[in-house]
Amino acid sequence: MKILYVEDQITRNISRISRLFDKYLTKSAKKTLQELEKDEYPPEPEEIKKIVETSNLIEMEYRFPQALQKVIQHPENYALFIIDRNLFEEEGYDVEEVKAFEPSFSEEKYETYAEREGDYLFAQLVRLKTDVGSKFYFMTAYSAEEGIRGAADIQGFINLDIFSKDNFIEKGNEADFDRLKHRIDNIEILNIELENRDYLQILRKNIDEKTADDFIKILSEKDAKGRIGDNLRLIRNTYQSILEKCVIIIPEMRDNCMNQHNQVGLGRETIDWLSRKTHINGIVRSLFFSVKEIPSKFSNHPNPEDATTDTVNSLTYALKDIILWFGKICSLYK
Amino acid sequence: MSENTDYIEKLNELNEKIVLEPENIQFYQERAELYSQNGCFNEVIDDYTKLIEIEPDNKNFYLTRSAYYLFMRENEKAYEDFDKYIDMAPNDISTYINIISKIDGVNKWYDLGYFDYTFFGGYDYAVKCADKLIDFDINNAEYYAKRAHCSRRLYCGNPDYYSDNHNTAALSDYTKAIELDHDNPDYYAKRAATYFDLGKHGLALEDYNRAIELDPDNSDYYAERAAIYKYWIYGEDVGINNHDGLLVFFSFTGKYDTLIQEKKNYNKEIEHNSNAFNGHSFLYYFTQKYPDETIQKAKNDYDKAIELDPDKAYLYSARCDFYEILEQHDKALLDINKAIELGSDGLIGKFYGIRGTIFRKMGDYRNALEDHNMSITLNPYSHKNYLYRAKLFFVLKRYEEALDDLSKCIKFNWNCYDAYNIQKECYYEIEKYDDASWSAFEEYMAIRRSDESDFFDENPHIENIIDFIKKIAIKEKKQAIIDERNKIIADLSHSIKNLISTVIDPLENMKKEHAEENPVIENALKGANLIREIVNAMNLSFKGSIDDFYYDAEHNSGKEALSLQDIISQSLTYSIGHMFDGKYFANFLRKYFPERSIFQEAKSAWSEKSQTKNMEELLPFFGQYFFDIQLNISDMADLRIGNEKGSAIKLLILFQEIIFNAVKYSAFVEKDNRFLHIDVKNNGNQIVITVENRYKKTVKTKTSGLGLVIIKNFAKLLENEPDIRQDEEIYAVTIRFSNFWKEKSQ
Repeated sequence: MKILYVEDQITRNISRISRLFDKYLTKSAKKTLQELEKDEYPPEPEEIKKIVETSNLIEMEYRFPQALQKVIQHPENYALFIIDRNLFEEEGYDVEEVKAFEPSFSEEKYETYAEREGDYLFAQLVRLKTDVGSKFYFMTAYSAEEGIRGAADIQGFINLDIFSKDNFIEKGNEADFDRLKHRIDNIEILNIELENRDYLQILRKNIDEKTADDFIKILSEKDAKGRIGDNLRLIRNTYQSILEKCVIIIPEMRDNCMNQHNQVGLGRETIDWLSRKTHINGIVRSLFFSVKEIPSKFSNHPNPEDATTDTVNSLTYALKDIILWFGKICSLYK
Repeated sequence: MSENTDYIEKLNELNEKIVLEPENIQFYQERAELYSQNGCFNEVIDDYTKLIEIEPDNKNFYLTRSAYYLFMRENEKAYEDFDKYIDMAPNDISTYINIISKIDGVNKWYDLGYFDYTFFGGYDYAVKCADKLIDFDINNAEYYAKRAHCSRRLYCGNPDYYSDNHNTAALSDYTKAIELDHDNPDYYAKRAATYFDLGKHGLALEDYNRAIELDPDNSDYYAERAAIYKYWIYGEDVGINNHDGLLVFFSFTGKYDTLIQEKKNYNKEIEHNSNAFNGHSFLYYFTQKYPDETIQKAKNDYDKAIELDPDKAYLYSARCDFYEILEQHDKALLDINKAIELGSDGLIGKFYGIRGTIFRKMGDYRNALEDHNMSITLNPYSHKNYLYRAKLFFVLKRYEEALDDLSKCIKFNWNCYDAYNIQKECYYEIEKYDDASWSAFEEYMAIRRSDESDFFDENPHIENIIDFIKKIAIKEKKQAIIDERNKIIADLSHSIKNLISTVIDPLENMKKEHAEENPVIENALKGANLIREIVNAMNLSFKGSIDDFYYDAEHNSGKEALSLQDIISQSLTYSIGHMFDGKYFANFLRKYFPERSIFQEAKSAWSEKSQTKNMEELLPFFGQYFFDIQLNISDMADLRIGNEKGSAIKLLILFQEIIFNAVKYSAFVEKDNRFLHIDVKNNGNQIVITVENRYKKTVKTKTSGLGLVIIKNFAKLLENEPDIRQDEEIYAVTIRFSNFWKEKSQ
């Protein structure tokens, strides 16, 4: 999950962006932004976008067509939308460019939403049943009293009264800025990501995005009683994904750790081999057993009394250590 | 010797003669003639009254005086003279014929378009004379034709008289004339015209065909028949049942079967859906569907008429009108040129008016204006000539001049709804919405006066007026919002101006405290100063009046006084300086300097040039890094304006805003195509400033619109409006204002 931040004049607002996402930006990203801010030759928006997106928690768009594409194609990817209402550009955007992925867009809509493109993004999210009340913020230089364009078209989808003044952030208003920043800083899912940035980076870099997403899921649901079985399964799957990658990179492992189905063994044989070859120490060895055995036992005999959220929590932390071990292995054999 | 002196000399001469021989009728007659030639009609009447005193039995004096009474619209007095004329020879047929001729003679001025606002009338008396003629000889076809003519003229120019009854009476008389003399082509042609007026096109066509058969060399018959075809082509809908003309026409062209089939289809469709064909008649539908046949027929007739009488100017004018309907302006122009070349007493002014209109439609406004001016010089009493010129002024956005012409047009013909129509649009354009509403109401009333039919509510002009009123209501609402906004801006800009200094001062202090360069403070200062400049400009733009400029033009020696050259050079420096501001004008900067190295090179060069006021030094720099620049201020450069009442700073801000805009929008054009032309002209009493640049039409920079408000406000202080012209590539702003300096020196 990420934040989608859409603003056309990002080169003019580097310091605001830096302050707004201070918590999620790395030190080096902030430093680079600071340097760009000081540079008398203005940066291209794309440069700023790239820097901000290194956080992996924020996606930034400065053109309406690109923003619309993200909004309508994967709205579920975002925990928060921060959208500038006026996304009108100097050299304009082409209606055809938008129609390529949004066939219902037209000249008429172009006219209706000109200089209020953000309202169109809002309307699309409402149609896609996004919880705009809690996830959507308009940034605007105008008053919140100004009606949202195309409101009549989306009245059947939303009671606009519940989309309150709180969802409008007036540019230059420090109180509004603080409110938005507080909201940004306290997105639980993003905080989880932030706190586990190192683990997630190892998974993303060496396995894939899905495995990283599964791990976030585990982290965010590890205290949910109703999710114990699912989480144990996800822990086991993550462990399996790690070993599958290890088979590829650790020399000779493939010759020694594959079972009769030509799959990597998850149990004793593999763990012993890794121990013998000193790839894992005693602690990690024990964690391997726990992460392998406990989910398997629960899965064969799912009895709610056999496993608790504490079980899940302990295995999650075990998995974290395994991920760190895995990161080292990947660095070693990269 | 001028004509006026000549007239006075002749008049004095005659006056002396009359003093010497007060009973000599010849002198009075000569003097009356002289008065008549010089438009002194009351004096003519006085002289004829004197003549009648001298020779009370001379019946011709009564007849002549009656004509002048008619001319002065004193119809009752004219009738008294007619009565006297008749009393002197009541049994003489020529008495009645002469009266009718006299009435026709006076009204000829109306027919020729000299006085199209006034129909002099008299035909009610003429009808009675024609009755008398018929009493003398009930078998004389000519007398019936005369009465028919008088009946038809009864309604002419006077809507109160308008009635089909007169045409019906005329029809009956023409039919009687034809009965008595069935080989006279003129009776058929005149009856045809009557049929046409009554909407019976088929019968009209039949009569014209007969007239042509009897006199195939009469050009007028062809031209008049062509007018029927023209009427159809023009798309006028003449009613559901009037398709008889087509029956005649297509039976001649061999399209009769097509016509019958189409008629069946039409009826079937109408039966099924009464709103089919948008309610148009079969005639309309058919001629629209088969226009070529009709067009060719009309053209053939016009060509034939001109072939027969190549020296008749009005035939060319008629064909020109036909070409205009077809929007074939080139052909129309050739015809009207010929008409002007041939000339035609009384019509020449009208021809110039027509040609002016053609030039206007062709976009040749210079020639159009020349022609309209000429048409008014030749015929200053024709409301149409003023209307045509007003239409041109409207296209040229010269609304005040258009309004002047329209008021003259309306003075001469208060029923001219076209004039109210344009008048309302003019008022709309100059944002006088109350006047625009009033003109719309007048237009409605004029249409009401001219259309007493049951279909008045369906008159498309009325829909147009209703739409217009709605448009005004929206505009007024928007204007109220703008006024309110301007008031808020004016109040706020004053407050902000004061507040912003409380931000700038601490920032300046912080800057001094930080020994090393701190871009964050620099940027904050730049931003604060930009706000200060904007609010200052806005604040000033709401203050003062044109009198301040006159005062400062006279008191222009203070140290804050600026020359026009200073103002332009400072405006350019201001605008170019901002193009190096990567914080607030990054998008323009990147267009001018797509690479860092060019930017650094230009910036370094700018730091050396920016302090100079010498344009000779600046221009090559602008050319190298920005655009091709041409300044044409020549003799105006040294004109100075003082700043005691803020005029120097106001003019500076106005120039800054206009030039800054041009500099900004030029950025989006490829470097080789960029130009900036600044032209300051002295047109005698007016200074005209034009700033022109190439721009990219598709680029719509995000803007608050405040720049335009400031420009408009300053232009308003100068008692003018900016004229903004945007074509495909060029953006030009022109400001005109009084030459304060010239008036000062006077």
